Amino acid sequence: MPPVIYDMLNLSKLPLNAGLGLKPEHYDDALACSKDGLWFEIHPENYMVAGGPRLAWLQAFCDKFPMSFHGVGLSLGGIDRPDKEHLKRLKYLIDRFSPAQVSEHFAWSKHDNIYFADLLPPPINEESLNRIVAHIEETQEYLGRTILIENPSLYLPVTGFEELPHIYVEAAKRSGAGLLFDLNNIAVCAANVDLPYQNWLDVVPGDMVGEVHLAGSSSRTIKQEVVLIDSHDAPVSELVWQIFEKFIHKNGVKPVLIERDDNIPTFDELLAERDHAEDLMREFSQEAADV
Amino acid sequence: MSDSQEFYEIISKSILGVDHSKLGDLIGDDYAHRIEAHRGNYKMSTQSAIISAYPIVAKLVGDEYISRLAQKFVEEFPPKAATLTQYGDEFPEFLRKFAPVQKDLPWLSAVAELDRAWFMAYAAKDESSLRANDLQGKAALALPILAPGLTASVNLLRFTVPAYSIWRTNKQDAEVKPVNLKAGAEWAIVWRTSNQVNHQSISQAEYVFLTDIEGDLSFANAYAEAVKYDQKFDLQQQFSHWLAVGLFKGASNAQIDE
Repeated sequence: MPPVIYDMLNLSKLPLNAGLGLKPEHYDDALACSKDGLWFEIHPENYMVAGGPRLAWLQAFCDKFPMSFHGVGLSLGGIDRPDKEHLKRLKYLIDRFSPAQVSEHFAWSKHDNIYFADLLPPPINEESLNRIVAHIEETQEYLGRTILIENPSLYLPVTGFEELPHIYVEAAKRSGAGLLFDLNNIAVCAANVDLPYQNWLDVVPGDMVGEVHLAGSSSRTIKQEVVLIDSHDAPVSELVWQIFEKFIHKNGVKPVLIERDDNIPTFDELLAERDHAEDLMREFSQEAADV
Repeated sequence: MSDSQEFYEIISKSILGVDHSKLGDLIGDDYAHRIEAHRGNYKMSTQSAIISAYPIVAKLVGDEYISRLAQKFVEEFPPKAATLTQYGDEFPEFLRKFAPVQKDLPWLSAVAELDRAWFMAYAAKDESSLRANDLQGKAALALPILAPGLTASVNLLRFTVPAYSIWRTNKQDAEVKPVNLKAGAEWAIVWRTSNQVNHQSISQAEYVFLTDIEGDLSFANAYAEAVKYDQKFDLQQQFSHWLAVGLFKGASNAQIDE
């Protein structure tokens, strides 16, 4: 087995390989898989239970693979401080399973004690930036570790959306967090709110990126307008693969995740997408070595 | 209210469908309809969570009706926490009070209780159970005064309708068997051993006995209550059976006196 190379900037302890989102449908196949450098990502919210098979499976994966815990419920972009109970449950999982990576979103999902099960855009202004920075800092302090923050998708042209890439990077710089750069989300933004993906590629510093996400999206027609939804229910789109190539040519290879949360295909189909990502990363590495 | 506070209020109320009159002020009238993208995500995620958590209820009422029930439930009990896998505790009670269900499917809330009990057992804390070896060396006379309690995964249920028969045949039989809805009361137990969730029908006396053990009564006291419902209640046989299936709390937690 070739040696696993870790990100030298230490933003991530994940290998510089492609990983997969772990779904219960694939537990058996995934655990038996022996692909070099394979790692998995889970949403810790799905494992916030007292005990039982879910945690037993998670233990089995953590014993064999590098794991990334990608939270969806802290609502860091919300007006309220991160929920203490949620933080406590997250910390329990982190302390018990020692994942290689922990990440959350530059978005909000909870307000006035209602959880919206979605990743909503925060206001794009200085007041909001300060609040998000404080929430990230509080989270990192509580967890005792640095986290990565993922850029959001946009369906609504909230005031100041053009500044979103800058404010996203600024929040990470001020809080000491790293970036989880979702390339499908920047394709979705480009389609919905006229924020070209190139703007993101220009603004996001590669050395702050600890992980990259690739996913598929779907179109929904709303009042005769087609809106691109970050649905994770389809293979990675051709556009996102192209953006990924641009990204690695500019910034080098990073741990990259193939996300799939709905319309789940066979494990082999996901592995084929992972193989494609690995091929692109290998080609780039070879080109870089030749130069 | 600050600008930020208002931003969150407007988007929240628009997603919930409570009030979207101010959304245009925030993002422009030409784009206000796009809130449907977020509203759709909210509805789909929350309703799917309920449907997944209550699979036998969903199977019994069909896709269309479970979606309508889930929608009504979500409107009344929106999720408060990001752990959607545990969302929906109140669904059985919601069904019990929901007039159309109360009228046409009065047993449905009891079936929902069994779906919930299955999940609760599945996700319960891992605990070791009492084993025969733990009791070696204890005086035979000491056994009746043991009060071990039950492991965290145990759910004891009682119904005035044959809910367990309905639930069991829909859960495990390839061909669903007919159930006589006038068959009367049933009692059931759902629990987990290692990674396997188990369930079975129990008698009223067994229900009383196990409920008392769960309440930390001794075997002797629980037996005294159970025998009121079944004069032939066999303590030795009951003890051996439930010990073998891992129902009693492990020696480290049990109050075992010499």
